[in-house]
Amino acid sequence: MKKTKWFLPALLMILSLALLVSGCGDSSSQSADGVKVGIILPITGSEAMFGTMEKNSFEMAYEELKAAGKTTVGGKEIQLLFEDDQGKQDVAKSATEKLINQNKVVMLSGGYSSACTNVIAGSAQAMTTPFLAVTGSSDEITKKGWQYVFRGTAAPATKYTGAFWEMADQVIKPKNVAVIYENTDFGLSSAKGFKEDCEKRGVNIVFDQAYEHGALDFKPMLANMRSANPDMIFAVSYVMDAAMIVKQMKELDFSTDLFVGGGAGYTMPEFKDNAGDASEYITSTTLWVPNVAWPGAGEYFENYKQKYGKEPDYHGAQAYATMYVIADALGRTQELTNTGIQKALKATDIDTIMGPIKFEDWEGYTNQNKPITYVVQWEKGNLEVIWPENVKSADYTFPVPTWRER
Amino acid sequence: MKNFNLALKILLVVIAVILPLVIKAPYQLHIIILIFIWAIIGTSWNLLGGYTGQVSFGHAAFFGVGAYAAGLLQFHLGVSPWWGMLLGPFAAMVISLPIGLIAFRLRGPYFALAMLALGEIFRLLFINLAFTNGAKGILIMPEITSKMFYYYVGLSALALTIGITYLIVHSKIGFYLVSIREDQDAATSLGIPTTLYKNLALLPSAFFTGLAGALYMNYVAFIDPNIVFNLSNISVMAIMVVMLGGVATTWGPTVGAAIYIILGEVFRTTLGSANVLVFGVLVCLIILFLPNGIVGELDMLRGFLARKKEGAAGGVKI
Repeated sequence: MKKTKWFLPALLMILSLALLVSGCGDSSSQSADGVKVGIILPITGSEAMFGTMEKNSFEMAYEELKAAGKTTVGGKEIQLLFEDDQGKQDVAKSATEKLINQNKVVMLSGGYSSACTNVIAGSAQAMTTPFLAVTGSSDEITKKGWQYVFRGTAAPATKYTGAFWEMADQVIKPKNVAVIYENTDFGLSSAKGFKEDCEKRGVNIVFDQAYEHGALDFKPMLANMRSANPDMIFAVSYVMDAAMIVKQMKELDFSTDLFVGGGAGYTMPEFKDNAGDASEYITSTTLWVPNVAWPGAGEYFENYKQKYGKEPDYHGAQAYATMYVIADALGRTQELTNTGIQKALKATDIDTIMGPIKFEDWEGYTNQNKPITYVVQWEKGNLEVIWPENVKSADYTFPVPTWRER
Repeated sequence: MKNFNLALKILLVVIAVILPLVIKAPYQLHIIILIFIWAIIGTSWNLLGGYTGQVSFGHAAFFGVGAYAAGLLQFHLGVSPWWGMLLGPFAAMVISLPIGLIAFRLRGPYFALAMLALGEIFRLLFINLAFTNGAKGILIMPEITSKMFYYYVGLSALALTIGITYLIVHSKIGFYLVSIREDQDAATSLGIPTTLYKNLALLPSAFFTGLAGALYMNYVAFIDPNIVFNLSNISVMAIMVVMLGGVATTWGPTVGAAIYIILGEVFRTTLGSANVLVFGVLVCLIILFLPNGIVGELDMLRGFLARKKEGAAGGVKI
């Protein structure tokens, strides 16, 4: 009883103090004069690694733009307001509400997971505030006909494999394919798109299984897959699952002509670190690589590595390019209103480190940039672009040697 | 004292009703709406876990089914998801029936474990079924965007939940439920059909959790299985809200929900990337030092003071 006596008043004090702090924070941010852009990213939680990389990239791009004098719009400075969504969708909703209603931002950006991006997009559209999605790749986001929702640097999940199929038709010519994917929105959408493309070409799907994201033992699944005898595997996984899968394939001595990852995990530096030499010859589709031919891509990679001591991947590039798109659109806007910025975004035509970005309406998508995808392969510990051929940084290896031949 | 309590309650209701007319800021209303949703879930959990002593680790199953009842109506039939506010609670009740009938015959941790499994089963089921649109979830554009509307819907749903829970707890059934929690053997020996009454606590608990789920779908406008059937973010959070506020108290879950949501939001917006850590530490401290929850400790404190006063007046009452 004694210890609770002081604790209750102490708690009440903390509570009131916290409320006071938040109250002050709100009033000061309202008085500040500037063009406010709200950015919602997962800074904590299981996606924090990516969220932090994107936040860093936003800030890096902002500093560069500031040095070039491109962050003032009509005499006002662009301000970035970051909010943490913790990777939870109701928190993303709270962040959206706060940025729009409390901080009075002129537009929103960010959105890492599909779920959070969905919620931000829906709320932004309902409150007619322009929202430029960075990473969320669910098809739905730009398929609802929402005029205030834009997606530039991220491809819809079903379109991640464009370059791969070009290569498959000319080089790989797969016959029997195994498809595995994590049972998330991204995994299922990607796999669905891939399977539809298989059907169009008459490629047999001999194995098709979703697995639980974050699983540890893939051997039963891999053993079943081996008995189906595929000549190619297509896998959609985040980084830790990806590393586990290829490591366990090596342990089982299970080889195929080609192992293709569907974006996300298979291109990340952490994948190489965790999978070790099992990562060799693993191929993946991706939206961006540092050695791609677009101007500024290599510099971004080097600068980021120097500044933060870590290698960025395509998520960081998405955020970096998005910041340039935002600054460009705000610079062109006639009037700083939601409709004015919406129009300016719609008229975007800019070259970024992720290639040219334009917001177009096509195949049922609204305000969706037509994505450019690449096929990359790990060769001697480096991620090399192997397709499209005009931007390749190394020759492809196909079929890849079996584990024993290496 | 009684008049004072009544006046306090009336004042509280009046404040709750006129609040959105005073606070017009949508962000603050949004926070209050979230508090309402969590208060409903907490109050429902409390009826089963707090009063009856049947701890459930799977209230996400009821929450998710309620949410999906609303979402699927829109997704498959194009019916307004608001009808889900009617369908969702009943759907949640239907799935609670078999689990209660089976698990409540057993003693010990079986019900808690069965509920834990139920939540996970539903999550996996809804991810893999085509009927539920799998892991892609259901995204809708809400027809009504006025925060005030959601505020009053949330307030009415919470009032209904607290009202009915209060009636149950303060009726004969309520005493049966508490007796089951305190000593099941003694309750049986007095002729209380324990399995039946445990089920009678589970049904309204599932019903109102389903109601909260349907409201959530209508308000947030996007759900997927990993969100609404989430173990840590829904099932465990339901328990946390009750523990924080006060187990087996009328207002505990509401107070707990308010503290949880407000503190979480304040920390998130002011503390940067340390916010989850600080929040977690604070919750640990509360549970360590206020094991009966905030409302529970307040009651004890009041009782302590009252006893002191009576003591001072001369007569010692036992």
